[in-house]
Amino acid sequence: MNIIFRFIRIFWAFPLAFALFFTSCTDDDPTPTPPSAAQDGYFIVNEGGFGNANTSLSYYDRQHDTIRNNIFQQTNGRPLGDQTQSMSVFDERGFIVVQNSAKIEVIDREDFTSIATIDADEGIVSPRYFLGISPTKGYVTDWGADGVTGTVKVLDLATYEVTATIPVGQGANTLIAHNNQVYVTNNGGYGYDSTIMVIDPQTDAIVDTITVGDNPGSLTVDANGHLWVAGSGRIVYNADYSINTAESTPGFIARLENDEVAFKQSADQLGTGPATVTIDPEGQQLYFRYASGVYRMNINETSLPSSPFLDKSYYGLAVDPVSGEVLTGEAPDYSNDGSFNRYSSGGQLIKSYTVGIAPRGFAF
Amino acid sequence: MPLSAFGGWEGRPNESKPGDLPAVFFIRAFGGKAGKVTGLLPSCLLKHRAPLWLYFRIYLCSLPYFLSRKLVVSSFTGMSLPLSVIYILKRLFLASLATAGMSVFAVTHTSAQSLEDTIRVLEPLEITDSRLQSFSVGDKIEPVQTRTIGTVAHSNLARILANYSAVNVRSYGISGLSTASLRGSGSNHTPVFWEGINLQSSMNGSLDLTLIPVSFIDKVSLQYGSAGSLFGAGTMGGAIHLQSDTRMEPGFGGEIYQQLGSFGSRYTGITSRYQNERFSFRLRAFTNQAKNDFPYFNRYRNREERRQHAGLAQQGLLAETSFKPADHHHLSLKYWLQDNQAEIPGVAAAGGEARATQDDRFHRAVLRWDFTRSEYQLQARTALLHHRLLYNDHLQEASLSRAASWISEVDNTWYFSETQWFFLGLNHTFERAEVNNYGSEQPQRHRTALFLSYRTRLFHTLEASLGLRQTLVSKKWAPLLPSADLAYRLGEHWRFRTKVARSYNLPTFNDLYWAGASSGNPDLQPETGWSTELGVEGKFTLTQHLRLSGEVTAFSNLMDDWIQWVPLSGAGWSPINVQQVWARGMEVSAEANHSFSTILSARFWGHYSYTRATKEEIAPAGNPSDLHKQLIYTPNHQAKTSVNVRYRSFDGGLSACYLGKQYTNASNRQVLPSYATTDLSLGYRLRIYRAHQLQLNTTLYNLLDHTYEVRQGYPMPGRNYQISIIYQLH
Repeated sequence: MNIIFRFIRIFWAFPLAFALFFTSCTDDDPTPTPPSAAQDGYFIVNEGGFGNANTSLSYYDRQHDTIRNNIFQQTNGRPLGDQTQSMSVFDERGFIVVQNSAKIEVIDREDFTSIATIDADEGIVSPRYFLGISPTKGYVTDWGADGVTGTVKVLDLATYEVTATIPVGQGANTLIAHNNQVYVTNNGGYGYDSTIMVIDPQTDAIVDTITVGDNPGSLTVDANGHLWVAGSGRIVYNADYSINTAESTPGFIARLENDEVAFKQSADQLGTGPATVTIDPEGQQLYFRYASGVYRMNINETSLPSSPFLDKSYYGLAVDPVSGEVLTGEAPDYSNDGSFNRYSSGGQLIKSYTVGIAPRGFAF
Repeated sequence: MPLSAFGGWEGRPNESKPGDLPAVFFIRAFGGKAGKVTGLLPSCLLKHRAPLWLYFRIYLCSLPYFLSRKLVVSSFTGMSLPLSVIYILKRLFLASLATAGMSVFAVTHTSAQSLEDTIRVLEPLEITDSRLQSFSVGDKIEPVQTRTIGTVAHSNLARILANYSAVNVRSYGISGLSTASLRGSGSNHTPVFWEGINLQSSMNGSLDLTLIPVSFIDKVSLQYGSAGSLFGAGTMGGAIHLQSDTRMEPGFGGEIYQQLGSFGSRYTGITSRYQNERFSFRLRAFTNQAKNDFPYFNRYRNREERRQHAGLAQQGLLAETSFKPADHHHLSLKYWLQDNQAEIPGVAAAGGEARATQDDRFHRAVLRWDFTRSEYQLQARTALLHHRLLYNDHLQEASLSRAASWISEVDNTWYFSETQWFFLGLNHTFERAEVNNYGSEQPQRHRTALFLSYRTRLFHTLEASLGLRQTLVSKKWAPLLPSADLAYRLGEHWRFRTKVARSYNLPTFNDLYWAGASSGNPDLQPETGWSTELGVEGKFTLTQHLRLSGEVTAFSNLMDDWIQWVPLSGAGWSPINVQQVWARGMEVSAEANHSFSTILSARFWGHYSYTRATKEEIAPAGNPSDLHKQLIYTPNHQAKTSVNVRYRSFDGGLSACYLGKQYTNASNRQVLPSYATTDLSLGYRLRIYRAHQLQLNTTLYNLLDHTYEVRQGYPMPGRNYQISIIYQLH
């Protein structure tokens, strides 16, 4: 027995001390900081690295010129998820569309607290963009599990349930409300499409399908009430991964009048855009990402501008609807923090701020 | 003959105290046994020094001739590529023939000489890799296997290294891709060598450690720091050496192993062997299944869930045969076939249904000839490796990749005297790959390396070894890799060692040839590094029953031209040489063995390491806020410990491991929390009848039921168990 006591004395102190030490210091969860009321500002969506579960949300306060990062986790004490595609602010609520997590996080626009999560249990599969129709109704586009079965899910914004599903084209993407109708771009997803579909939000029925060009992705409305569409074109690969130039098409920008293509201009080269078309508060100047820069084009122009507005490639682009500032998101890669930059409408950099990984979108 | 592996330590040539060896140096123990032999050497070796030296000079002179001829040929501009390849192959063949020929000459000659000697020279009991054992004077080399206990001994290499070594195993969850990071280096900077053959994939530069069943390996040794001069490309952080036991008991023997565990885990293994004086044969097979559908709290989705689509199935076969055609000669042939089917669960934050699967099939064959004498040792081996990988995400067409390597090596070691040893090796590696994503490219690569080492002992207390390696990679010179080791013994208890070495790593085929929206970069430069370290080891035998040992090592590793994939200006990614990384830190470990009586003994092992690995230079396009920040998934603090107790026929073991917080993005703003896990094992051995024995083992993993992720978004199971029964016939 003596031996055993000696043994215990010598040996069991080590692991016990070890276990105690490490048990006591493994709680590294950050304590959520109390949210401050957000009055005047906008959200920056940081997509994160696909599969790395590190997407996040930032908030820019116009009044105090401050940025707050990672606000969803800080407010709600849990991570946002994987790969946020977009966010929309509607009816005092923020709708954060987290594509690879197959969910939409609904937060309070003022204090960022979570209101609801609409997820796979409701039939959300691969969501892309949200559009509010009325305080009790919203639309969200969804790629489907295979990336080609595009749908628009109809959401009840009182119960946060999916009430109907409208089949649309492949890779259903951005949507916009215009003339009491909803326009949905079909951006291809993992497949290919060339149409914009028009939905009557009263009946949820597709009332028109407009063929505009290969893989239309973004939409905006100008001062004349005309729709502008940017499409990425299509790149077809041969078996050896060289580009099949015969079947590939370049990107384009087009204007729709009365649901018909009135103007269309294609890019010079394949795979350069244009993409993310947006417009200034006056509805006169279009901005879009194109080649390796940001371009500006007056709505009365008939050809693509020859020189860029900002000669730098950005991941995200928007125009502040209040100030008219051009906002860009800069992503060095998908594992480093990116930055968000404010430019004057004259193209002068006002200020840069460090945000999360891959800042790709803004919500006002 | 390995002679005293860590000469000047427990294997000092003039001393032999194998009975006193602490268990931590178990793997080095045969050095002590060989020590008996080396005491006999000097008188006979002095006579041989001159002729041996002559052979060595002829040999050395002949190689540059063949190599230079090859260079002339390859620079001949008028020759088409296939023709020059054939020429190179011919020359290489001649060069290897010459090497082999010289070796045979040396062999026959020394044999003849030794016959004349009246002194009987003993051969080592075991065939080992003389490079690792004899020419790594200043290296820190650690046996891993001896610490394992319970059902852990029949798991995979990832688990063993994670629990019982200083390696930081980076893993995508319980069945996911696991790679080794040593001393803050990258995931493909610590290659795995099986029988001296580098198993790194030519496609992605790594090897999944979960695909190596521990039951196929008898020894795992970990070599810390650059090992470039002896082991070549890729060894920037260190090297993992796997070996089979060549010593077997005569006659028939075997083992049947059955294990059951949580989450649908089933493992069945069988080993049978036969050995007589000249011949031995061993066959091992295993099959392993697991569903891994463990429950966990999904913090991304804020609810309790079960892990989905994380199952795996593995089957493997390893046949080893060896033959002694004559005294001092040893031939062996090994063939390893393994099939793995894994479901890829994806990140826990992902919604929807995971559907991706990966199938891997490996064929590995190695033929080896050893000639071992007291004054000369030859090891020649040639290996064929084939890997077929089928990845199917069920969205796009399944992607098929096939890679093959042919690796041949001739190693010569001359033991001129008790204190003067010389090593010369020639390696030729041919790699090729056929990958869907390389488009029309079917890359091939030839690597020819000449490497030498010299080891000497001065004043009975100081040992030094110098090494040099020059490699020709597809007609281009790779960086010259020198190394210098020094060890100093102070008294009976202390040993100081230091090392300076250069290392490099070649871009993988993916880095060079990937095609599509993301594309490889054929202009990539190899990564290069300089590593230095300084360590002290202490060993104390306090009483007849209590032995303590420990070591402290400080290291620094500066790596240039680190390869990283960065986004292109349009869509897609491409790799470039982006940054300089400086990894430095400190390791401390201690081990205690106490035999309280003949029926009760215990062992304690503890390890702590501090690692700081930062980017010191970044590419012009990089983010300046990353400068001087810790690399992602590299914890500053790591601590591991295990306690094993043996009482009569019972075994008990407790092991714990702690990983400090890890940053998950380059600017260090996102953190994966620290975690600690504890495993408890119990075993009982029962002799049924004579040579028949039964063993019962059980292991409780994650005893304290901690919730943790090994990688952001990759949860690990809570408390779970395995039980096993082993029947052994000796």
